[in-house]
Amino acid sequence: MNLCFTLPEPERQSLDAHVGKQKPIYCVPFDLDTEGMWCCDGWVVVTGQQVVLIKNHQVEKAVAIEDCEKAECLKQEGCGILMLRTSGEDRIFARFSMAFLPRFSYLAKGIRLLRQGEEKTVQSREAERICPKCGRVLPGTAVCPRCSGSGRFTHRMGELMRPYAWKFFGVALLMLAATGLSLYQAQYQREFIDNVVLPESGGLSEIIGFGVIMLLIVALSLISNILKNRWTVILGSKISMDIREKLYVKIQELSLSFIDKRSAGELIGRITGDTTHIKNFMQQVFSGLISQIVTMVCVFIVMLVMNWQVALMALAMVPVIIVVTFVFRKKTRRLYRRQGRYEDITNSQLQDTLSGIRVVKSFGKEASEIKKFEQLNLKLADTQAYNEVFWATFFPFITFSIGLGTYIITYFGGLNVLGGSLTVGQLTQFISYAGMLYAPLQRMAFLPRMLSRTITSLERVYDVLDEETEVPQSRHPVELSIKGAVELEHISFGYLSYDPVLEDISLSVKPGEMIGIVGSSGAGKSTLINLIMRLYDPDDGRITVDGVDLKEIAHDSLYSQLGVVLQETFLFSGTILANLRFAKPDATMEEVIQAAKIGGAHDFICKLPDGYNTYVGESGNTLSGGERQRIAIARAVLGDPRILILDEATSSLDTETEYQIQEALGRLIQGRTTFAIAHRLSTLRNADRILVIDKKRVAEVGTHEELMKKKGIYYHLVTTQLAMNNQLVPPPPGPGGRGPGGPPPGGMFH
Amino acid sequence: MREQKQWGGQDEASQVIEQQRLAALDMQSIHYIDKDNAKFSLTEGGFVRMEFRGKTCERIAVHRCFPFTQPDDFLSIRDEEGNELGIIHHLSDLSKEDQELLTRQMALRYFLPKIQKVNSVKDEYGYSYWDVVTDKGACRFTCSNHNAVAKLSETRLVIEDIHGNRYEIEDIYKLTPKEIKKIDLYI
Repeated sequence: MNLCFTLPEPERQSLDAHVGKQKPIYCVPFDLDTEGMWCCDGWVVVTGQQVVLIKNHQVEKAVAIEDCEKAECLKQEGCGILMLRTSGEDRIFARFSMAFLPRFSYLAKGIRLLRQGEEKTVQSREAERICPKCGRVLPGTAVCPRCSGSGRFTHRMGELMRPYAWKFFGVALLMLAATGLSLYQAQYQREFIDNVVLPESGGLSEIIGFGVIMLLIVALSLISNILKNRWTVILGSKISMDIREKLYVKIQELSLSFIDKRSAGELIGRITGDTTHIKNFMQQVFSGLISQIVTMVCVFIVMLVMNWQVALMALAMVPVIIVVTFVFRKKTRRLYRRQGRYEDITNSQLQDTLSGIRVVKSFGKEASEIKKFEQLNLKLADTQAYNEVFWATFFPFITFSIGLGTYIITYFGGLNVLGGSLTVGQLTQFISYAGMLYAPLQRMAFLPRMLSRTITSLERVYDVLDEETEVPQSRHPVELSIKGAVELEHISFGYLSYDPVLEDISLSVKPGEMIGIVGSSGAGKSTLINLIMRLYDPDDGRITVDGVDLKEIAHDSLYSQLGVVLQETFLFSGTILANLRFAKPDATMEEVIQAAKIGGAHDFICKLPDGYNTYVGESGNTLSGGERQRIAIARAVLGDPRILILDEATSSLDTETEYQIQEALGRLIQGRTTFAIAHRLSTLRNADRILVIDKKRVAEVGTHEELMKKKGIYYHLVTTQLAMNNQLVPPPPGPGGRGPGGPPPGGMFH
Repeated sequence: MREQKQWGGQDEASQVIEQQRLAALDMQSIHYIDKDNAKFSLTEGGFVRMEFRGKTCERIAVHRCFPFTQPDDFLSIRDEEGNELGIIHHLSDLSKEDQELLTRQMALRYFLPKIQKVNSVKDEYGYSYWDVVTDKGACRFTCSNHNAVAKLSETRLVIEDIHGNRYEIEDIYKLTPKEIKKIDLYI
């Protein structure tokens, strides 16, 4: 996202007059004036020393960076405010609509950095939504497909086709053969009519000869057409397969921050939808379009040579046919899109009521839901009926406009035949050529649309393929046998760089130590763990394992020694065995069972009819949340990791099972560096130290006893949870009482 | 007992609980603000300050509870952190000057231009490009063809563009038939 626009000349001059030689570091336009009216001549410029507001080509106000005690972009409803605090007073500096909100958030962060005297500037990783050149929406790509030029398109198409160059050459030959044959067929007919039929000079043998040769021509053109179509279909599929594979490989390599920016649905769309577009385009172009264009040109030349007046007459009809089809299709597209909208609305209404049927019934709202649906249904039916009637009424006009061309040729050609300047055979040839000239026009009218759709698809595909991997492998990756010392050094990170989730986190973890991570939801606990797993790289600071920067450790080496159990357990479609072995594909059955026992999964797996061979995942057996979590724990155990990450690992289990698994986990974490997030603090009772994250920073860190003495956030959390448990069960003498299934007294926090 | 020592006694624990109980209670009750119990003033920087229940907030935010149906009733007044300080039942519960002050503040917070005239709507590859005149001046914006329009009623619409700006059509039948035809496909 551009944070330093180029100022127009008058603005630049008045800025120069005001700030002298200082160069703009950030320069962003704003679109709302102080009264909240749209405006288009406002700019906020930040130089090394000043924040300047330019309006009406004049510097309207300026604040020195050193006077900005605070700089913030306040999000309002549908708009935003850049607020600067000077001499203890919050002041509105500029207003803007949502279109500029992200930019001003970056700008505010930039002002804060400048004020702190930091050298670095904020960079935006977000892509623009609108092409700065043509003003069209970018289809989720960095480069505008419409502005990138046709050179780029042909280059990329060429790139995709290159491996199959010979096959395409073959297709081209077949195409020419088919065209030549259809041209010759009409030519041969003419000769037969002029030389045999009209002079009545031939006998049965000529007619049989004619039949045989015509049959031969038809057969040959049939064969070449079949071959050509087969080849193009195969080629199209192969090419789209190539693209899909490239895309899939690339997406696996790409960092999460790229994938976060696009939804899973959108990426699936690119892999399946966009490649299909490209395939269809190739098939259409090579099986039909090119040969049709070649045919049209050849036909027209031959017609010109034969009789240029009639040929021009035939040509005159071409724009008429194009216009008629174009107008008709445009109108019908509009109609069918409206129908599609009503279908969508009806479907979502159905979806809504049916998935919420329990609520509808329990509130007794059936009648009003039925009424709502009836109205929608009626509207949909009306639209459908109207559209069908429209189609049935007006489609014949297209056929008529094509037919019209042929009538005109027959009429004028007929006059020429009577006048003697054209033979009857030539006329028939003309008529069949006219058919060849007009037939493809219907499709050609939509070539521009098809082309632009393909360009967009290709751009969307290459947008992924050209993306640089953001978490790149180090050039000299270190193979490390991890002991488990983890060092977090002044880590800052935000999914959007203007909006930090973690700030200045430092922690030194000894090998084998267990760190419990505590904090309110949204405090950044899971983010911290994502950084330790290196799903993202920190914006500032670094993480080391045994003194080696996480970025330097070889990918395989790191992940083979890292075990993860997450809040949401995702099982891939496949057997339980395959899911367990995901971490260690060569694990023996004994190891698998041992791991399942530790994870508390063995028992329920054995009770399933198919045991470890039970198929799970999207279309397979549905396991409960607790069962999935136990499999995830077993999966982590099987990998025998040196560093273990537990993000609410036992949250979906009932208290009793949780206790059992906690016991097992207690054994598991012996000697392994462990990071555990938990809301139920009792699960952290084995933790050597507790890290409390609050407001993006480390609030407290220390052993349970230390933090309890401190009476800070942790103390509050523990007291509240304990009190809640006490409310559940009347407390026995002394404060040891807690919910059912809790550990024996005295064992909870030690 | 061992735990007795760690907790620092039952008393402190119950103090914490009591604090949280009171906080929860406070959160659940409505504190109405009117001209007798609150004082509003404009800050030098263009925000509004409020003194209420013995506390002063230097920069209040006015949140409408029912922005579409009752824009001047039930105004939730919040501090910089977003905690509710109180609720104004009707804007008219305040003095004339304060009403004006808060109205200006709401204009700062809520930006929802009303479309008065539709010049053109162009459709291209899944997006529509609008050229309209609103009560905030003429503007152009771009919408996705999916889920851009929310119907508040049969005649009242809110359209959201790709940046998240929203535009309201108060009554589609106040537009000319020609204009309705232009936007017909999207609503």
